[in-house]
Amino acid sequence: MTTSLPSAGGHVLLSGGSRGLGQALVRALLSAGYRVSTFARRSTPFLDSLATEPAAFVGTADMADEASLRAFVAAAGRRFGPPWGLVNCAGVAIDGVLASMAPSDVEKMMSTNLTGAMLLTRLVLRTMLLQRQGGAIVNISSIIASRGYSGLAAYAATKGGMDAMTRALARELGDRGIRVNSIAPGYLETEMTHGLTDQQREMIVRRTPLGRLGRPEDVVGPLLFLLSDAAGFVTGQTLTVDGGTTC
Amino acid sequence: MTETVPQRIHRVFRDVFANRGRRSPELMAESPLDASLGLESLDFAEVVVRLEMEFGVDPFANGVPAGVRRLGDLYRLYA
Ligand SMILES: NC(=O)c1ccc[n+]([C@@H]2O[C@H](COP(=O)([O-])OP(=O)(O)OC[C@H]3O[C@@H](n4cnc5c(N)ncnc54)[C@H](OP(=O)(O)O)[C@@H]3O)[C@@H](O)[C@H]2O)c1
Repeated sequence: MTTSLPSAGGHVLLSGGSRGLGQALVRALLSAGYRVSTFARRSTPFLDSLATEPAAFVGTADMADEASLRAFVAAAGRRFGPPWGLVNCAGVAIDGVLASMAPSDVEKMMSTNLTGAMLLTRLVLRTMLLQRQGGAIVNISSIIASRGYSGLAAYAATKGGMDAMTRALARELGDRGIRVNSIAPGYLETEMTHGLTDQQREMIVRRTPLGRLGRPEDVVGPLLFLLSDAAGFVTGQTLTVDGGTTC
Repeated sequence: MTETVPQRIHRVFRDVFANRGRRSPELMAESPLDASLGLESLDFAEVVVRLEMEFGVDPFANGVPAGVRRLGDLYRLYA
């Protein structure tokens, strides 16, 4: 049997750590004592600020470009050794009814949120398997994967696909001590949801027992839990973090 | 003495068996690359990654190359 590494000090690779949820998660992982490698397509003041952080490694890569992912995984491995943990966080949401959505927007969501996440997972797994120290993968999904929301069909499909991957991989990797779980946040205050109208916001808040939109920080505890040994017997699950919106 | 390509390939297989806590069967060019060898699909995935590290190339990058069924079929792929 493989055992999981003590979490602290382990290398966690997180896609899309430049802003929004990813930024909050990178901060939290660093505070928790992980070494973190992350990338986005463009740098941000936050990513620039990590240049002086010895426990962080920052690069540029595009989820839609496998060669760039490959180069990033290799560079991050040279810096911190092969990742023990992976957080698939990079994502895009483009809303609009499917009938009038540009095919290129459908493709963009599929290639970033789903195909990209799968190819990045594949690359990281290749190094994880050699380590034989187990590992943990957390896929950032969405409540939209399991509930119908008009205008988000393509986005929902990418996140539903991600949850399906979570369950299949949990079975595939269980005997290697690699756990795979999803976190499904509800609406979070990030750039992704800046387009919501006041009316939409009010409706979400009204439907949420805990009475507000989520904040990126709300996802921190669940992520640290799923990565940690405290979740050592948890795999193949989707943990909903939505203030009760979908309960 | 430098190892030959088949010797290097056999060594990679033996490492994977050892890591799985199993004794490697006798490896021969005729050994079939399937479950009867005693390795599971994930073990074969690991073999492929280790062979890439060993030889610096990955002939499996686009799937299993045609005609690869026995250990000996790998020799020419990495030659
Ligand atoms: N906000 C919400 O309400 C909410 C709810 C549930 C789930 N989520 C999920 O949470 C994750 C983060 O969302 P967020 O709200 O933080 O979004 P965000 O503020 O728009 O940030 C998205 C992050 O992903 C990166 N990214 C996007 N496309 C990329 C690509 N092709 N290659 C590499 N990186 C890429 C972005 O950097 P670049 O653009 O520079 O590449 C950025 O770092 C997403 O998976 C999202 O679906 C969000």
